[in-house]
Order: sequence, then C-alpha cells, then structure tokens
Amino acid sequence: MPLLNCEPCACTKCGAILNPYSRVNFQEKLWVCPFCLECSYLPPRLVNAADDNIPQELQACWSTVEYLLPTQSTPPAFFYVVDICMPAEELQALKESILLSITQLPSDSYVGLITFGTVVQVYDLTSTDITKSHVFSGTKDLTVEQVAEMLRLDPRGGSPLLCQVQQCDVALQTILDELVPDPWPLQEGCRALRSTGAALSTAVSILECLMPNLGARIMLFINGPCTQGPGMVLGSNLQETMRAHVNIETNTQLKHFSRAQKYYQALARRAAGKGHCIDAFMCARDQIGFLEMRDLVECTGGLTVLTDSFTQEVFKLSFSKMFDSTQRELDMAFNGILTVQTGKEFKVAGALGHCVSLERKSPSVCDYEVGIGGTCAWKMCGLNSTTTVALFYEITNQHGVEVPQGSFPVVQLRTEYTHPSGRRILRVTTHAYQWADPAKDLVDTGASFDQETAACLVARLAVHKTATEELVDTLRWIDRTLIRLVTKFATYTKGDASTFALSRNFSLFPQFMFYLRRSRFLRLFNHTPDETAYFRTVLNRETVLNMLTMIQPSLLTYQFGQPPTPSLLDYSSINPEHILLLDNYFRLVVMHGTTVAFWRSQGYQNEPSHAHFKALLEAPNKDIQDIVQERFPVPSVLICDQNSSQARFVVSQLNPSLAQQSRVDTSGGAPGENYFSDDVTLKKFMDYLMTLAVQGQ
Amino acid sequence: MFIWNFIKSVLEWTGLLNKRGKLVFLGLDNAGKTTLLHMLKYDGVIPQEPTQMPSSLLFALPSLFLHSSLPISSPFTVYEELKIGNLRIGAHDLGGHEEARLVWKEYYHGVNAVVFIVDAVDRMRFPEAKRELDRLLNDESIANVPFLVLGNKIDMPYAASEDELRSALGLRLATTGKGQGISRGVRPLELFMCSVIKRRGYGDGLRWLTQFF
Ligand SMILES: Nc1nc2c(ncn2[C@@H]2O[C@H](COP(=O)(O)OP(=O)(O)OP(=O)(O)O)[C@@H](O)[C@H]2O)c(=O)[nH]1
Ligand SMILES: [Mg+2]
Ligand SMILES: [Zn+2]
Repeated sequence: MPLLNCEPCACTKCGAILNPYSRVNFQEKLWVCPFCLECSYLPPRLVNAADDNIPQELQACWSTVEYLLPTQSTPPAFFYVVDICMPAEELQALKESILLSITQLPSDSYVGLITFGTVVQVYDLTSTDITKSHVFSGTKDLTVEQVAEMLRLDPRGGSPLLCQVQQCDVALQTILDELVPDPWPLQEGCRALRSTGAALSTAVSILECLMPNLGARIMLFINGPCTQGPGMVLGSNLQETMRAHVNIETNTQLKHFSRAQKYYQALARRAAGKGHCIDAFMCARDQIGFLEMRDLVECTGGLTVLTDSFTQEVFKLSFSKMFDSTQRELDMAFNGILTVQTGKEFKVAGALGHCVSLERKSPSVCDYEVGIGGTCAWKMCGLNSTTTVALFYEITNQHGVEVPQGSFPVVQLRTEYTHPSGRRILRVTTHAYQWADPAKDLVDTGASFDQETAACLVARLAVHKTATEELVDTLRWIDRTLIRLVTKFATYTKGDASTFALSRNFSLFPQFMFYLRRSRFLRLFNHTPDETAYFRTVLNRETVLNMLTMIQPSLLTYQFGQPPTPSLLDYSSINPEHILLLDNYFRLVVMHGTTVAFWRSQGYQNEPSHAHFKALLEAPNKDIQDIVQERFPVPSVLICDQNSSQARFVVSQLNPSLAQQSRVDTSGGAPGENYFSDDVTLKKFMDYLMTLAVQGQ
Repeated sequence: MFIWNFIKSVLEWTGLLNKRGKLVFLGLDNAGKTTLLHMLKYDGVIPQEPTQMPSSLLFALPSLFLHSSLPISSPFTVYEELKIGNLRIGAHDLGGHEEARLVWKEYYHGVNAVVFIVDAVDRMRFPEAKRELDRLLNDESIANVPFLVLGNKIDMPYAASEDELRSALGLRLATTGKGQGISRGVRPLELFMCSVIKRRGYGDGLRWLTQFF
C-alpha cells in the first residue's frame, strides 16, 4: 500500500478523495467524482499526470492508499494505572512486566504512573532521589477541574506527572522497585479496599488536561473488583458475593450494577471524547467487574487480557507483545476517525466494533440503524493491524428507486489516525461493487456470498442483541436468519428434504450457525458475566479469520507419518493413537489419545528406536509457536490426555455425534462409552433445518 | 381459607415454606460439580469446560425431592398445585483445580451446607480429595455447617463402593447417619453414592441435607 507524502485531493462538493473509480481527463486536468458527479480540477501536483504516467492514487491496483497529513507530530503517552491490592508475588511479576515494557517504548514517548488501593497515588516522575506523589482519597469522585487544580495541571507547560521515557526511566524504576502491596490493614471478614474507579477517573482527567486529542493510552492492571468509591462493583464485606448471570437475568440483588456501569460508561465517553484509549489487563481468579467496565475498552478501542495471574504467560507475553517493535515500529495507532461515504445506491446503517459514534449526519447515512448507527463517522481511539469494524449498509432501492442491474456502486472508507511516531495519516479505501439484484438475479447474488464473513457479521449482531434482549430471542433470531437464507438460496423440491442441496459458498454457513449457537458467546452456563463479557469484547474487535476460530474452534489431527490434517469438530475425531490440537482462540489444547499417552508414560519417546514417536509428540509444537506468535491475547497452552480432567477443554467443544444420552440406557456399551451429552447434534440440527427450509414460505 | 391455613401450618411445621438455602459445591476438578448443577437446573447433561471462575446459580429443588420428606399425612397434591414449597437453592459452583481452590474460602460466608463431590472412579486422587475434605472439615469458619459428600460416577464399572470410598476418605467414624435428625451439637456429615449422568443417588443425598436447613 503506497504512502503518499502529499495532501489528498478532495472533491470540492462532497469531500470524497480522488480514487481509481474517478473518471479523469488528463488533457483538461479534470476529474469527475464518482459519488456526486461534480467535476473538479486536478491539484497542481498532478499536472504531469497522463495515461502513461498514472499517479498511484488513481491506479486500479491500489484500492487503498495512505496520505501523510501536514500536522505537527507529538509522541504518544502511556499511562500505567496499577492496582496494588494483590499478593507480593503477583505484584512482583506485574512490576517486572511493566519495567520490561518501559524499555520497549520509543524513548520520546510520555509515561505516567498511578497506583491505587485504599487510596489513589499519582507519582511525580521528575524526582530521582525521593519518591514524591500526590495522594487522593479513593472514595471521592473528583471533576476534571478539581484534579487540574489539585495537581496544578497546565496544558501549555510540561507536567512532572507525564514525562518522556528518556528523562524519567530511572525515577520510574525506583518507584516501581519500592512499590509494595497496599499497606492499609484489612478488616476481618472483608475484602481489600480497591479504588479502581477513582484511580481511572484521575488518569482520564490528567490526560484530558495535558494531551487532549493526542495519542494516549491508559493501561489498567487489576487483580480484583472495585470495592469502594465511584465505580464500586462489590461491597467489601465478604458476605456479599459478585453478581452472577442469574442476577442479571432476573434483575435481583444487583446492588451496584447499574450505578457502576453508568459510571464507567461516562468515563469511557470522556476518554473517547479526547481521543484516549483504555486497556484492561485483568489477572484474577474471580470476577473483577469487567461486565460493568466493558465500555471503557469497547468505546475506546483498548486491548484486554483476562487470565488467572500476572505470573502467567498469557499476561506476560501478551503485554510485551503490545510493545513489540521488531517489525520496525509499534503496531498501534491512536485517535482514529473512520468516515464512510457511499453512492446513492446504498447507505450506511451502522457499525459494530470498538468505536463510538461521532454523530455526523450525511447523505450516506440511512434512517434505519444497525448497531451504532445514525452517523457516517466513528471514533476509534485505539486501533492496530487487527482492529476490525463491521459496517452494515442498506440498499436504497428498497425505497422505490431501482439500482440498474450491472452498475457499480462505490463506497469510500477514510480512516484518519495517529501513527506511533506521532504523525497523522489518512488511509483511503475505495471499492466498487458489481450490482446484482436478489429479486431478479439469485445466481449472481448467491455467487458473491461470503459465508465466513457472513457468519462473523451474524455473530457480531447476535452479541450486540444480547445487550438489549433476552438470550432466547437472540437464538431465535439466528435460527430465523439461517432458515430464511437457506430457503432462498438452497436448491430443493418443495416438501422433499432429501433433495435439499447448498452450493459450495453456502455449504458451511449452517454449521457456523450451529457452533455459534453453542459457543461461549451465547451459552452462559459455567461462565461468569465477566468471562462472557470478555469473550464478547474480543469477538467484537478481531478479524474474520480470528472470529471464525472463536465461533468454530479448529481441530488438527497428528498421526504417524502424516502431515497434520484438519479434522471435524466432532467426537469421531478422537482416536487413541492420534494427537489432537484444539484452537478456540483463547486456548490451545493438545490432547494425547489414550494409546499415545500410554506410550509416553512408558518413555518410548526417549528410546532412539522410537524416534518417530518422539517426532509425533513434538509435531504440534511448531503450529503452537506460530499461533502464539501472531495472536493477541496470547492463548494459554496446555497438554492433556484423553479422558483426563483437562480433556474437557476439548470434549466440550465437539459435536456430540457419538455421545450417550443420559435418558437412554446403553449399558451394552455404545460407541461413545465415556461421553455423555443430551445436547443437539449437528445432524439433528441440519435435519431440522432442511425440513423447515423445503417447506418454503 | 381454612384449608389454606391448614396447609400453611403443615408446611411451616415441616419448615419448607419460602425456604431458601445457600450451598457451596466443592471438590477436585472433574468430580462432577458442574454436571450435577446443570442436571439440577436443566435436567440434562451438556459437557462443560473446567470451571475457571466461581459461578453462582439459583434453582428450585423439584418437589419430587421433597415428597418423601413430608409426613405421610400431608396433602401432596394440593401442595404441588399451589407450587409453593419448592426449596429455592442458591449455589456457588467453584472450580476444583489447584489454583481455583485458592478462592474457595471466600465463599464460605453464610452457606447452609457444603456439598463435596468425589469422583469414585479416580482412585489415584482419593488421597488428594481426602486432603481437601479434611482441610474443609477443620476450617473454623464453617465449623458447624452440614456436609454432604457425594461419591459420583457409580455407573462406571470400576467405581469404588461406598465402603471403599468411606475408608479412603477417612469417614468411617465421622459420618453421622443417613436417617432423619441427629443428636444436637454434632455437625451432620454423610456420604452418599450417586451417578449424576444416570440421575441416581444425589436426590437422596440432597434430601438428607436439606432437613438441616
Ligand atoms: N460416568 C460418569 N461420568 C460423569 C458423571 N458425572 C459427571 N461425569 C463426567 O465427569 C466430568 C465432570 O465434569 P464437571 O462436572 O465439569 O466437573 P467439575 O467438578 O465441575 O470440575 P471443575 O469445574 O474442573 O472443578 C465430565 O466429563 C462428566 O461427563 C457420572 O455420573 N458418571
Ligand atoms: Mg465445574
Ligand atoms: Zn463529490
């Protein structure tokens, strides 16, 4: 993708950027905007353009180009907001990770540090010999003005609270070295007092004063729930327990829920308003209140990691990967704005992803809303190479005016963002679609169906729906969507399910829906609200490929003398002599079949005569390494044996084709002897779907 | 009205009207805690991942469980029709793997009883199960709380017998009997064998346990 060091040429009437779908007359130095058909002059820098000298922004091979915008560049700021209510070994591990990250940061970036427990402490990073800090109460909700006055924040001058790494790394090191778990005594029968809300609010206020609309991220590290002050999600008395799914469904015993949620939502909007993003690194064995805090991340494009402990690889590797600059520069961008412009054939109905609406109206916006709608522009304060936003469009011919068959409606996506170097960049993607009207031409419409992407869009919509409606309604909506689609695009003789067939680019879609319905995004049992919220948050920002792995985990089989083969996500893939690798995005589980496990326990892998067995045991390692390399958050990796306790990580994901049902007596020894499930099988699901589909409407 | 009052007094007498209980389900990983709770709540089996964070749920023990604990003379049918008297149970399902056990102690507050589940097939882990059970039985903060120990998976061919498991867990002299009521000042503790998958045995155990609420 070309990076052009010049100002983009915009249509004087509608603001669209010059692109390969513009008609250009090089003799007259004129171009016609494909959106509004306005004719404008080419800018002076393109006077030499000609048919044999086509500028890159007009070359059809570049649907995306970037422009370097002429603005002053300011390096980004990184604000560490650290919970200190945790055991010493946890804090030690966290400190090590933070120290490492500081060495990874570009040396001109700004850093700040806040710690919190019973009180909130903001550190002065200019003093090297004694640690100076400002102490705030953890129970007060201070306004920006109050914080600005108390800390004497001056947007024009520098502040000792936010310094460039190269100037404060020694001071930071000293402060972190001296940091100990919250020294305030714990009351009998009580949890630690943790002022997460007050601490976050302070960080947001400081950045709001010192770095408005400049790249900055607040990195929150937490080990437990906020138990006092604004944003409190759980009382400190141990008698109170964290809300569960049942409380949310029935709206009972939700003492702090809506107040906390509103508090964090407001905070998220404040941060987003100034272009700042908030990451949450949550390492705890119990819920910390992520359900309430979710908007902090989703509205600002922050990153999240949820795992047991700061000592775990999942946290350590993920966090250090964030600052990995082996690819030349950090993979992060700040303060992004995405603008969508459409032709008159279709309009944008909304977006789903980690963004907030900028409430900008334009002729490209339709009245109908899907997700975050009613706007043509969204803010994404934090984004990186895998940030993926789903955009929904409405076809305007549904309102009378028909789109001519075979025409090429255009859409332009403009993303303005701050590069980690501080430079401002505009990315322009222009795309034309060949128009096929489903009412007239089912074959062409069907041929352009992308089932993988469609499954991901359904998943995002479903997750979005769960926020406002009952889960059963969401599941019914998925069913209806699927039935309508196959009724339309499958071939069958009416009333005869045996004639039902789907063309290749539809054939996997029903299966994706089957696994989506039973996925961790839509099944709540055995997960806490925090876990569910976390899974949904990650789903909401990842790429299509990553989302697919989450919806339908991938399963690889390793066996003697054969390359790894993708296998059905089904009980029938379990074989005593094979090794399976299950990838559900969050976890990689290697499962040794019983025979493999037996040989391993006999130590065959250590005998030179069984080198091939050793090779089999080691075969998954390479694939695991590759996945761990490219994924965020880094998945947790574990190795287990078939029928062991941890094998449940694999078995629970499989289609229970061979399982025994609890009501059916199969004492005679059925094929899936050790597997029990009353769950719907894929076959049953498909049979039912086909029966419904061939009935037609 | 008279009938209603009569029923009410019977229920009050049996102590079941509007009664709620709070249970905590403990045991090593893979014992069957989550499977049992799923069965109690949804009457079916769905394979689950190992529990990571403590979840809480609410379910009603079906009146089926309660029938046999009501006095013979009580008006069953009316009782069922009125749909009252279902015992509402709040349950905490905690993970059983080693790190997850670190949070067990945060869920002891205000529980009416502990249900401790043991995989009766996994003999290798009986000592580990015993260690955890002993630790719980000696914990001051739940000193008088009734304990139901369930030996699960007896549908499997090599499952330990009740006798074997009783010895392995060191419960020979400690259990207090499966009958109604026990002497005052003694913590109720009993072992019941069950198969969650085959819907057997845990009903007796829970029925025994709820008499102490
Ligand atoms: N044969 C048999 N298997 C059972 C029975 N009950 C449970 N299981 C199996 O044993 C395993 C128990 O899994 P869970 O219920 O998730 O165990 P848990 O106690 O919740 O484990 P953690 O969440 O890790 O603490 C599952 O694979 C069940 O299918 C039973 O009665 N008979
Ligand atoms: Mg469990
Ligand atoms: Zn235009």
